[in-house]
Amino acid sequence: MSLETRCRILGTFFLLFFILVLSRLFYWQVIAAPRLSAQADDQHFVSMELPAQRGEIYSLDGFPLAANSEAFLLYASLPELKEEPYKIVESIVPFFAQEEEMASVSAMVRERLEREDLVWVPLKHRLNVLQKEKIEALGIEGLGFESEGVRAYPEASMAAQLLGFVGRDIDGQSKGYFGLEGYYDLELRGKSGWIRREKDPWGRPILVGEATLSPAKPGRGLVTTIDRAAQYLVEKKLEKGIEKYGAVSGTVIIMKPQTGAILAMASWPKFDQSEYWLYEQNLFPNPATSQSFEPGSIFKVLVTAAALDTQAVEAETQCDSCDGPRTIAEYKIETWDKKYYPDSTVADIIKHSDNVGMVFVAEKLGLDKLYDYLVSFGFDSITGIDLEGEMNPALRPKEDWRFIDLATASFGQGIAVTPLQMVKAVGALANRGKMIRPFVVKQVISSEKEIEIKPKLEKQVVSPVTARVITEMMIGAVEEGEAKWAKPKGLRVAGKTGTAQIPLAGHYDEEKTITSFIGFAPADEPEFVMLVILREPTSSPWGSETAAPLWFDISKELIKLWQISLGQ
Amino acid sequence: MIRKNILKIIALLVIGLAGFQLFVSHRLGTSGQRLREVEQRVIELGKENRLLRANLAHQASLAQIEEKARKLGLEEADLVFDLTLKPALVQN
Repeated sequence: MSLETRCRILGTFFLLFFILVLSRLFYWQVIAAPRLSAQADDQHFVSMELPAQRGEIYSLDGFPLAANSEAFLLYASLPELKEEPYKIVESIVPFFAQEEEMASVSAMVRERLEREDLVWVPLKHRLNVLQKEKIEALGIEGLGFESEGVRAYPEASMAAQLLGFVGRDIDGQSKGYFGLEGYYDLELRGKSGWIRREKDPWGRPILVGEATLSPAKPGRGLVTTIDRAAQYLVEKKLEKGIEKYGAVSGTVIIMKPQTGAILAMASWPKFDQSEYWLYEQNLFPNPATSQSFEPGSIFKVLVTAAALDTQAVEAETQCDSCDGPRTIAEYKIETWDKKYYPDSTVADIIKHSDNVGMVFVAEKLGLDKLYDYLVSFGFDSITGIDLEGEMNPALRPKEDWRFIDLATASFGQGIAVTPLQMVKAVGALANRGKMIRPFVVKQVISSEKEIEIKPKLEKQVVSPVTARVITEMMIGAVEEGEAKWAKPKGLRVAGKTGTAQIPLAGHYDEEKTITSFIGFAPADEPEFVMLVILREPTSSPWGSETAAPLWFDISKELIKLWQISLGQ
Repeated sequence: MIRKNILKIIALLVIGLAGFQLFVSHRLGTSGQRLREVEQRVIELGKENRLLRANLAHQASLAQIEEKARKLGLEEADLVFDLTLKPALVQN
């Protein structure tokens, strides 16, 4: 082989070797660069998420209604277990299972301890410190604990439907559902941060190394208008009232009429927010804002206020069709007690809760004006309260109304409202005709600033004179009406009882009713407007014998609590 | 002579500063363990703080206070007088 050939072969070999090195370099530096760079980052840097604390929810007195706390997850590292699964189950389950669920929980824990395809299994979430310490004291090898942040409710299930609860979304992140937790979820959840810094071969941070930090932004806190003591006593009274009157459920709302601040909002049955998954989902929505009902006679004050405001009638206008039942189309309209009062004035109609009289008032008012006032009182829209899940029962278009609809709406049948819509509307009567938007959160607080939420005046729905006249009629209804026996001595209350039949597939249930009482006190300078609703009471079907006594019972306690002066 | 002294001082300063830098770098470079411990402690204290706050709130809840009051034998007042009401005048 000639020298030239050997040189060529050598040259080719070097060229190929050079190409090989080049392509390998291309592979490392271009193709595999992102992966290698990530690997290098993993070796040199440590990254951590800095979770944001969820904002807390406070009552009016600054007491936490929803706070953050710590709980513990009990887990088992299966290869490290030394004892038999059944023995471990017998030892630990009694510390966290109730008597009635002992068998099912034991079976579940044992099944997890006997898994052969896993090395790590969670056994029980949300153990408290005491439970953790007791299980730790057993010294069982292979069991361990991990702390986990949880939402705590110091007042237990108080205002459960109002507060809502914190669950997980589809990505496993904390998320607020229903009530305040749902409505203010973005404010409450804050923003997670992260930290990335250099680490040494043992994984410890290098103080003089490179570091990048994006601090976590804690969620904002909410200060509510809820008076904790009032909420507590209302819930207790409501529960007792439901038991006493044999009702299926009930709702109480108390609002400050001048500001729209919700002072208490309770419903029963309720649920425990810290164990919400144990309850039926239909308990989660707040009945005060998410359930509609036919209001019955409590609606009469609004129809009468509309008639007075348009001067269709005056307080002393006499009814010329109140001497007996009225027949409209195929329907017969009667009074609730079958008693008739010829020549009743409008004030008497409210006092006697006279359905026939109300048809007279509605006729005088006319459909167009009644409809306009229903819209004006807010029955075609949500109240705008800061709670998730508020509903608006549809107000039928005016074109669909017949004369019988006008007649039945005058005494609160054939029309659906939410309890809060009623409170907002009657609150306007208590506030000299000015309608205020109800609200629950008065302050949003963070480390940087405090945002005050001011009451919002929506409109003058009736004149101050009309409000004064209807208030006097409501005082008369309480002083001389069917519920006068229950009224606390010395307190001037403007109120109205209600008893509504329950619509059932095109007709009304013959036996079941929804009873209610709405009113405000003291009538001249109202400190509160309150609505009490009892669904299907069995002791009596009438509002005057169920909801009204409960209303007065609660108001007696509120007088003491808020030291309301009874005046002369 | 002066120049020699200045050179000596500069040399001493360079050696001193280099030694100091070495010392500081060593201290900072090996403080990771301590930093991690401090951070862990901060996290633990934060958790403990939250736990204590929640426990405190639970103990101060109205249901707890009512239960404790009942155990102490306290009862709700049946009769409440409103002193803002005008007292009844003696009739002649």
